[in-house]
Amino acid sequence: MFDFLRRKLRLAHLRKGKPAPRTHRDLSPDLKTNLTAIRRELGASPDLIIRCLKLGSGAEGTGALLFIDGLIDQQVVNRDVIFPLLNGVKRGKFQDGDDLLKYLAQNVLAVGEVKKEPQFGPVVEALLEGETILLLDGHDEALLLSTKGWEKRAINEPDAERIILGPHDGFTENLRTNTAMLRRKITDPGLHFEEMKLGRRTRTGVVIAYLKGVVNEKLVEEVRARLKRVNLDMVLDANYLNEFISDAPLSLFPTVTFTERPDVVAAKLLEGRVAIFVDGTPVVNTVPALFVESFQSPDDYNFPFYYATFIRWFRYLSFFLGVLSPALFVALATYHQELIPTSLLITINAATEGTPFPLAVEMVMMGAVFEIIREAGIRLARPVGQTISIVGALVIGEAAVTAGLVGAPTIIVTATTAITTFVVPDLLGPGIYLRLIYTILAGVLGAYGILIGLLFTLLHLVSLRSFGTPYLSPLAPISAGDFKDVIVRAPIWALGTRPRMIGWPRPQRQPIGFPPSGDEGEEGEAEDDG
Amino acid sequence: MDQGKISAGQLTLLIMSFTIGSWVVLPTGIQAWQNLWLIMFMGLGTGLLFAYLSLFLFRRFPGKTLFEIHERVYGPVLGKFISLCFLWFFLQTGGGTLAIFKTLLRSTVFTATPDLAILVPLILILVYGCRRGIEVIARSNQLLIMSTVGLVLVSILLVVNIFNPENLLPFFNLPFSEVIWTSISLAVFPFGQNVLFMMILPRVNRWQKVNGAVLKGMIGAGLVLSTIQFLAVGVLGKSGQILVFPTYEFYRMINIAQFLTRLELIPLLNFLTMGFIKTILCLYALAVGTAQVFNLRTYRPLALPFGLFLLLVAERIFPSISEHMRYLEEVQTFFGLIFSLLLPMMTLGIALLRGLPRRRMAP
Amino acid sequence: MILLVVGVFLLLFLWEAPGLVAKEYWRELAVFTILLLIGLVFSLLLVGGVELPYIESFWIKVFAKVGKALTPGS
Repeated sequence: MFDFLRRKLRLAHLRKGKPAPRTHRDLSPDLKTNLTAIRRELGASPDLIIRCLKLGSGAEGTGALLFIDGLIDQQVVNRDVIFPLLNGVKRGKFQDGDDLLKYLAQNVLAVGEVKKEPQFGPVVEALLEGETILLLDGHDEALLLSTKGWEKRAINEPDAERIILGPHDGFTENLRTNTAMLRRKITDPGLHFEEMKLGRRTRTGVVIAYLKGVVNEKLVEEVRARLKRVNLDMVLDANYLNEFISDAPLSLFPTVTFTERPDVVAAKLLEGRVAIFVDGTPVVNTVPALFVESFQSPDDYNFPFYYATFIRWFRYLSFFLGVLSPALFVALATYHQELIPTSLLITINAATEGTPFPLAVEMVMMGAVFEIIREAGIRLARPVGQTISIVGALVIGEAAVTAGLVGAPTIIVTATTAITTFVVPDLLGPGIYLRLIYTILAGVLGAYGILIGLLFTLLHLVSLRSFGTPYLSPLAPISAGDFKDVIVRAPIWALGTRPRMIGWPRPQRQPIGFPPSGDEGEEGEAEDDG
Repeated sequence: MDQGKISAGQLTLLIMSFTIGSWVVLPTGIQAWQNLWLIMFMGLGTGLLFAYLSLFLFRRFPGKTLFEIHERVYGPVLGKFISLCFLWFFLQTGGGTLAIFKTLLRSTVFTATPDLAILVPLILILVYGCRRGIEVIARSNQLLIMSTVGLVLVSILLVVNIFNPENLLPFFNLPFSEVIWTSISLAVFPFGQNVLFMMILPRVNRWQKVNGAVLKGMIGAGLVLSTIQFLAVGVLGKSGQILVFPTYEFYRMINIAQFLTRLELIPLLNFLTMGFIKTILCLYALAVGTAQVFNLRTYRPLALPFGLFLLLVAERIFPSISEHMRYLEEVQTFFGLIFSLLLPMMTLGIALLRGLPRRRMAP
Repeated sequence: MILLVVGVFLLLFLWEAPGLVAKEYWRELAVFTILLLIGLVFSLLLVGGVELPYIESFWIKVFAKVGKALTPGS
């Protein structure tokens, strides 16, 4: 079955789509013909503005400005395009016989980027991207004026990734703003951006960002190649690409990570990763993704290392509790009661006595109820969402126990699960499935079932790769040098090398330091040029 | 064929897990019970001797598996026949490991669970892992062996209050012949079974480092086993000798302040993962070996039928644990000697006589 | 029960075989099929209640005989 699906997917990857029907026509020297052609192409859209102009003298001076209302900066068009056009030609030193188009571009128009374009297709494309088109009668070329400007959301703190200390800015929906935010973080000439358009109909701008000199060139090539084979008609969010370029599209585990935070992207580029920006979404993908990445938070580096280490351990603990606690409880209470202290066992037995379902079924049921409450809480407006959680917690939880439908321990375990799951939001999806599978296995085979499930998960995780990097590294294969930022969060001055599996082309990050001494010692100075 | 490569470090850890394998729950040489932890090192020494004979063979044919060496040394027909004998050895080793853990689980914690319910899920993940190749096996082993070593270290702390040094006495009260015999039987099992790694050595990315890796792996395994045996003797005393699964029993005795009690399930499952690695390596050697005997391009489709064979063997290897104990006592040592010493030595001898390999092959 | 065993083996065959056919791995398919058939025969014998000898008991007998033959003066 999976083989079949995989084959299908591979086919989907390989199948070359027909290129979008694009007109390879040239522009005609006749202005009227051009205008009708554009009108026919775009239909009677009211946001297409055609402004006719009379420049200079004679028949040659008839022209038209075209732009899409809302995609251009009104002020720029009025002040720097229309005004000079109407006045500049008359006042300037234009002589008959000069190329009017060239003259306008060089002497009159006060916009940053002016391009000549003889073909019809690219002109329409540019128009739709927010450029202003200048057509002149008698010229079979158009001028494309860069006047892009549209309503943008202000920079906000991302809701999904809140932190306590550290920078609070998040990406926005505008690609340029996002790349600029990254440039503000990394002022290195090695920060390269490569743009391509993906999505046959949306023609969304996608930018690959990497740090030349740090990144592994092969990785960039691989990202490029995988993005090239994306053949979708729409790319509305980073996840559209995610599911297309990830190594194991059928795996539960994410082999592409995403973030809304510029500081996270900057840190990952500096480790040798590649970022993929998608226009129209604040979410930025980074590859390769590692399992342990899900447990690292930007706050780890904004707090003292001993505290960050402690918190990180609790994140690991929470994830394992969140995935395993229902299964462990089912296994212990059903199969291995001798492992529970006697007094506790009596309490549990008293609580679960008289409930109609086996423990595993209770657990799965309450898990489902919890997921429903969570989903309802997310989709609704915030005040209503809170109501839902209260109803869920009190009414369903309390009432189910009082009515004798489920035992109280089940509720406690479900609640523990619910809280601990949210500590590692990246692994929410896999967590739900793993929890369900482990609970069922525990219900059937007890602790042995859990072990079987864990071994299977281990084998699967270990066989995953993300853009050539083993997903479970540095845990397996072990690279002990990277434990400094995985098992603990070593002090910043000790994080001297990049992750070995990703940043191996240029492993040294900074001189590998010892505690910087208080008095400005000679040693600190000497090591600086390492 | 499997194109995956493992590092020398991963090989070390694989050898550790494989050696710890099933011995840890069902020790052999039980007649020397109180001194077993010391004789372990003599067994280790002898076992290393065996291993280095095989390694000498490997270094003459770097990059070749045992079966490929057989074909070069004995010619295609006889070579294939000897390879088939080894396939049986791997099958019996893997099936035996499964059977031991099945018996252990069924006689202790999962008394009501049927055989098949225990074996079938395990076989399924064995086949899954085997098809993923040696890289995946080696990597998952890295995590599993770390947890086992961690467990052994922690258990040293946990037994402090029940460890009775007097149980270790009388010290070395065995006749010398008994010592020699026990150390040879230890050299054959668990250490001698490492001959299986002759199928895996060509997958190591730097074959020059193999010798050191084998040495480290076997010493590591010897230390772990000896430590557990030492603790078991200290805790259980003389009575441990009559128990079938002494390791399991000694973990049952752990009791820290009436709070940490009845912990036996955790080591039980932990050692099961060692048995898992041992069985998966057997399965891998079976599939790869058969593929080489029949000149196949891939071993992957064979993982499934051999998984089934393991299941059948595990069901049909011994009727009861007492019969297995008898086998360990009367047959195991001779049977193992054939495969871990005699056959490799014979191959090496003939290779030397025939002056093989004629040309030094590139690794 | 016998039907169940045959069904399981058929399922396993169908799981693996199409991929091998698609890649034209005929030798592999042949070895796979033979191994599976051997497995099927033994499974059916076990399910059918035929008393196959236990492997280790068999070796104990063999080695006892060899031992007796080798011991001088018996």
